[in-house]
Amino acid sequence: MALDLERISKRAGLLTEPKLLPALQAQLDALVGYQALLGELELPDGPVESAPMPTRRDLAMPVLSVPVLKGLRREGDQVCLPGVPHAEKRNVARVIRPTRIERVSDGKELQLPSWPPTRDDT
Amino acid sequence: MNLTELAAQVQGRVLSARSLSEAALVRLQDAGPLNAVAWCVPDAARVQADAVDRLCSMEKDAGPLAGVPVAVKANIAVEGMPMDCASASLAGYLAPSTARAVYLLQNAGAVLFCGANMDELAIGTTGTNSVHGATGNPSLPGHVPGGSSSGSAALVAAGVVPLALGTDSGGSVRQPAAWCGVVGAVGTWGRISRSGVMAHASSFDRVGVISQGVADAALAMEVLSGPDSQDASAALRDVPVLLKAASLGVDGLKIGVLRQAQDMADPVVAGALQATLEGLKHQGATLQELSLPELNMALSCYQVLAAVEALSSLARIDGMRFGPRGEGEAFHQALRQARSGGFGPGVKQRLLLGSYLAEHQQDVVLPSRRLREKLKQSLFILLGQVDAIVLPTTPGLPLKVGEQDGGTSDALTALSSLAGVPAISVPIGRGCQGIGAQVLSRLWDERSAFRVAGAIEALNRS
Repeated sequence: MALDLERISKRAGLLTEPKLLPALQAQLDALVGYQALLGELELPDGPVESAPMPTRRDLAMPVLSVPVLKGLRREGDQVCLPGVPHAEKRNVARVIRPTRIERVSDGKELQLPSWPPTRDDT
Repeated sequence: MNLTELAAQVQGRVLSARSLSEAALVRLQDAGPLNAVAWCVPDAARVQADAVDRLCSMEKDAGPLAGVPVAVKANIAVEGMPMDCASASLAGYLAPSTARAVYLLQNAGAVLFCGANMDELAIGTTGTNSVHGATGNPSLPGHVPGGSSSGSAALVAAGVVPLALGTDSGGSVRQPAAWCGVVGAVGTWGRISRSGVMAHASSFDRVGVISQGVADAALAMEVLSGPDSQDASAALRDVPVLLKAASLGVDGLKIGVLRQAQDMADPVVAGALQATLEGLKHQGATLQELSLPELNMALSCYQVLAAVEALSSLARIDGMRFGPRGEGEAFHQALRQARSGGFGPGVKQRLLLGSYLAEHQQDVVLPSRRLREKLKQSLFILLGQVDAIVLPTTPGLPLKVGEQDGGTSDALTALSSLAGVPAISVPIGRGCQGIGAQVLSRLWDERSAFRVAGAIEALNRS
C-alpha cells in the first residue's frame, strides 16, 4: 500500500514526522494479507451498520471543542480562537455558518477549515 | 472476603468504611513503585467513607458496595478531578461532571480513591504508553500489565482496591485482567452508560469492571447496569440479576469451544484452557467443538474500524479549549502543532492509520464493516447452539518489559468487541501466572457468562 505521509498527517491533524513512517508502513504491510483474505470472502451485501452517533453527553462535554466533527458545528455555537489566551474577550467567536465564524469582540468574520479536513481541503 | 461480605460488615458496623479507606491508602503508598495511579484524593475518600459510616450508624441502607474502595480509569470523568486520559494533549483538564458509572458506584456506597494510570487515550495493549510513565505488573514483575486499563488491573491485582472501572474497546479490560491475574468483565454493548467517558471508538467502547473475584464483578455489573438519559446508546433494559448466577455451577450447560482459538494460542495457554474445559466437563457441562474460520481476521477488522473511528473521536482534541496550545498564525497550523506535541507515538500511529484508511473506504473500510457483520452473524449462530463459548483471553503469555507484539494480544478479545457480546476473563493455569479464560455469551445474557466464569474460578481455587 503506497503512502503519502504528508497528506495523511495533514488529514489526521498532525505535523509530518518521518520517524513514524517505518512503524506505519509495517502496519500497512500487515494489512495487505488481510485485504487479500477479504477479497476471497463472500461478504454480506446491503447496508452495513456505521459507528453510532456520539452520545448526547459526548456532545455536551467541554472536552468537545466546537470546530470538530464535520457537521457538529452549528450556528450560534461559541468557539475559541487559536493563539489567543482563553481569558481574553477577543478569544471568543460565534459560528455563523459551518466554516465561518464571527469574532464577538469586533464582529470580524473569519474562515475555519472543516474538520476533519475533507479531500478538497487537503 | 468478597464485596458482598465486606459491604455487609460495614453495614453491620463490624468494620468501618473509614478503616477500609485508611487501609487502602496505606496499600496505595506501598504500591507506589507500580506507578498505577494518575491522581488520588485521600481527603475526599475519607469524607465519603465517613458519610457511609454515618448512614450505617443510623441503621440506614448504605448500599451494596458500602465502604468498598474503588479506582477508576483516568478516561472516566469525576467532577473536579484530572481527566487527562494519560495524554499530554489533555494536561490540566479537569472533568466538568461525574460519569454515570462513577455516580452509580458512589450511590451504592463505594468510596472513590483514585484515578488509574492507562495507555494514552485508551490506545495500547501494554500499559507502557502513558504520559505518567509505564505501569508495573504486580503479579508478574518484569512483565507488562497489559492495557489499556493497566492501572485499574494493577491496583486490583496488588490488593490496593478490590474493584476498579476500566474501559474496553478491543480488549482493554479483559487483556490486562488476564495478564495481572484478576477478573475483567464487560457486558453487552450498551449495558452500562458511557456518559462522561472519553470516546475512543464509539461502536466498540464499553465500560467494564476489574475485580478480584467473579462474584464481585457480577455485583458491580448489577450496580452499573441500566438506562441513562444522558447516553442514548445505553439500553432501556432492566438491571440483570447476576450475583447469584456466579455460584450456580455449570451442570447441564452446553459450552462451545472454538477450534481456531485453540490453534491460535501458545501451547502453554492452549494447555491451560484445555485443562479448564476438562474440569468444566467433570462438573456436568457438555463441551461442543465449534468452528469460526474467519476468527483470524477479527483483529485486523477491529484495527481498521477502530482506527477510522478514533480519527473522528479524537478530532475533538485540538488544543483550543484545553491542554497545551500550539503555535501558528493559522488555525490548522496551531492545531497540528498542538496535536503533534500532545499525542504520543502510539496515538499518532493510530491516527495516521485511520487517516490513510479514510482514503480507502471502498477497498478496506467498507469490506471490513461487512466482515464485522459476517463475524457477528456467525458468532450469534454459534451462541445459539450453546450457552456460552470459552476461549483464551490472549493467545500468548504476558510480554516482558520492552517486548512489543503490535497489538496481537487482542486477537481473541476482538471477536466480542466486534459483536458487542458479554465477555468475562477469569484467571486460569495453576502455577503459571498471566493466563485467562474468556467466556462469551449471547447478547443481553450476562447471566450465562457469569455462571460459567464462576465455575472456572471455583475450579482454579479448589
